[in-house]
Formats: sequence, C-alpha cells, structure tokens
Amino acid sequence: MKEDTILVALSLEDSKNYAAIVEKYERQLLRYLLRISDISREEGEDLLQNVFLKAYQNLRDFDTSLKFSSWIYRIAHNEAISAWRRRSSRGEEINLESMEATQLLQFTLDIPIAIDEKFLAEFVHKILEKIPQKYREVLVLRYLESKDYSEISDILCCPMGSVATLVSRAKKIFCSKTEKADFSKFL
Amino acid sequence: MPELSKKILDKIKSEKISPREKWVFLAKNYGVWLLVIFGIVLAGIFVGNFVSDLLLAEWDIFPRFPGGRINFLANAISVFLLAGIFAASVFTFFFFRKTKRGYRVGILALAGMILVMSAVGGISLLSTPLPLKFHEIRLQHFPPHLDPQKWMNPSEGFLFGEILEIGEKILILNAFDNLMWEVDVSDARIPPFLELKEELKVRVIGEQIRDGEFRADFVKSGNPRRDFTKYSRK
Repeated sequence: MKEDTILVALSLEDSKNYAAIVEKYERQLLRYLLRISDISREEGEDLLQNVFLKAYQNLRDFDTSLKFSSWIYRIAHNEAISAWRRRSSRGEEINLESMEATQLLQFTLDIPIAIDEKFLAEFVHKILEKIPQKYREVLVLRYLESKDYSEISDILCCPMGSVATLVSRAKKIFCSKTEKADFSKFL
Repeated sequence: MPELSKKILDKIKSEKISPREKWVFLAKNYGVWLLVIFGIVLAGIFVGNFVSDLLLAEWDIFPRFPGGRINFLANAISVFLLAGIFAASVFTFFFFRKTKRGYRVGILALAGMILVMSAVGGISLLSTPLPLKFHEIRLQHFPPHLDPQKWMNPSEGFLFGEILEIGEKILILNAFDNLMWEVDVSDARIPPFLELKEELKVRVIGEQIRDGEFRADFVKSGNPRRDFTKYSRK
C-alpha cells in the first residue's frame, strides 16, 4: 500500500513513472474486466486503457486511506458498468483459470472437487454468465480476485453489510443455477 | 500487453493529458457537503414546522373534535410537511451517498441519522423566527382546511359562524346555516390570542340549549393557525 502511494506521488511528479503503476496492475485489471463483462480480450484492452487514463487524470483524488488497488478497481468497475450500458450483452468467452473455477465451486458448494478442471472452468463460466451482473461481480471479487469485504465495499461503493448480503445471495443463486445445470454436458 | 504502458504514456503525451488539480476534487467534495448540509437544514425547517403544528394543535378539544380523534390527527398532521420531510431527507440521502465515504454507511443507519439530525435541527430552530416565517408563507399557499359541514352541527355541539355582536358574556353569531345564534360564553374557554370582535369567524363547541341558543364550552378561531401566528408576532 505504501509502495503504491509512493508510485502515485512519483507519477504526479513525472508521467513516465506512471508506467510502473500500469505494469503492476494491467494483468489483474484486465482479468477482472474480462471476468465481469461479456467482452472480448481486445475490447477488454481498450477498456483497460480507458481505466488507466481515467485513473491518471484523477490521481490527485486518490484517498491514501484506501488501498490503491481498491481505488483503481473501482474505476475499472465504473468503466465496465459504463461499457455494459453502452453495448448489448454479447457472449464472449471469459478466460477463467481452472484453478480459480475450482475454488469458486468449492467455496460456494462446499464440496471437494476432483474432476477435470478444464471442463469445470467452462462449467463455472457458463453458470456465471447466467447470474445477474451485480451478483457475478461480488463472486468474482470475493472468490476469484480474493478481495475481502472491506475492499469489495470500497470497490463497489456500498456498505459492508450490503456486500455480505450480496455475497450470500450470489452464492445461493450460483448454487441453485449449478444444481439446475446439466453438469454432464461439461464432462 | 507489455506495450500497454508505452501506449498509455504516448497517449498521455500526445493528448497532453494531465492529472486534474487537487482543488477541483476539493471543490467538488465541499460542494457535495454543502448540499448535504442544505438538505439537513431544509429537513430541519420542515420538522420544526411539523413539531410546531403538533404543539399548536387544539389538544384541549382533542376528545371533542368533530369527526373523532382520527379526524383531529388528520387535521393536526400536515401532509405537505410530511412530504417536505421525505423529499428533503431523500435529497440529503442522495448527496450524502455522493460524499467520499458516504457509501460506507448503511441505508437504515443513514436514514435514521438524517431523521435524528433533522429533528434536532428542527427543534433547535423552534426558538428562532425562521419556522414562524415559514409557517406564514405556508399558510398563504396551503391554508388549513376546516370542513364547515362538520363544524356546523349544533345538535352535536358544534357551531361555526361569524360574530355579529358582542354582549356581556354573550355572542350573537351568524352561523353558516344562516341562522342567528345567541351563544353564552360565560363559562367558555377562549385562547389568549383570540381577540373576539365583530365579523370574526369562530368555532364553538358546547351544547345546544334550544333553537337559536347555545352554551359554549370552548370558543376557537375560525382560522386557528393564522391567528396564532399573528399572536406570536405580537
């Protein structure tokens, strides 16, 4: 966190230093954008570029009492929502990593998973696609991005109590969709 | 991907993008807080008026109000003020949520906080001329409605009319049924602000003795809130 604050200060002194922030967050933010939106990788990269440009313009608004990652995730979240509103939803592939998909299923269903992770990733992806955006996003942040409730609260700009409620509902929805889905199609 | 940072730096350079100045964010932040404070003051004025309306309500005739106690409460509680409290609270709520940390406060906690702050603000304002001024403006635009049908029912103990003559402990009233009534006010309770004079509209609660004769227990203004406001100004 301290490192980020220093990077912000350095970027304000010289824009060239901003490259360090971009390099540090580009991979995780792109992954996050792809997970929460139905967009292609190219669209994701364009979106990511906007995220970093917006973050740069608003660098002086960064509140050092927050985590920089929460702040920049919030900008990414807002950009994703704006993009979501601009375009009609398209079913692009989300590159869920197998291991993370397994974790999501384990967290939500609380069962040991010992099946082919590649198929499992596809299965989780299909389930996530069917879940409303706000629930999908908390599941992604909590279980795929490993953010705690306080960080999710800062990213989504909602109270911690609401985050807990959203996560709980999202898990229930995920479970019910999983139960209804024909799992054998993915095996 | 590796060239993303280069692409961004090039764009920053070519389009001469620079971080916005700190004062822009500070001004926005203070602006939002000013709107929050404005919302609370506004809600406070509405609450102050609402409380003063309740305090000024004719509680002495509460058990004998025409149409019953529910009708009394419907008269005492102003829908306009309730709507004002609600609108000002929603306004405050909206802008509080726009402050930097506003999102951290839960909906119920925030709603409760706004109501408590408005209530404290409103009750504090009662000692200033502001609620009275607002009260006068409100009465000009939203005068209280007294249903003459309910108040003009002598057999039930209600009389509503205009004073024609004032005698010793007697009022001659031209009631809304166009009949002349002789009202005995010797034992009647009359509010201190009510200056009985000819052509004044009054409501009387008491008992009908016979046709054209009435014994008053209470004499009330035909326009209670406005007369009280005038009295308070004095």
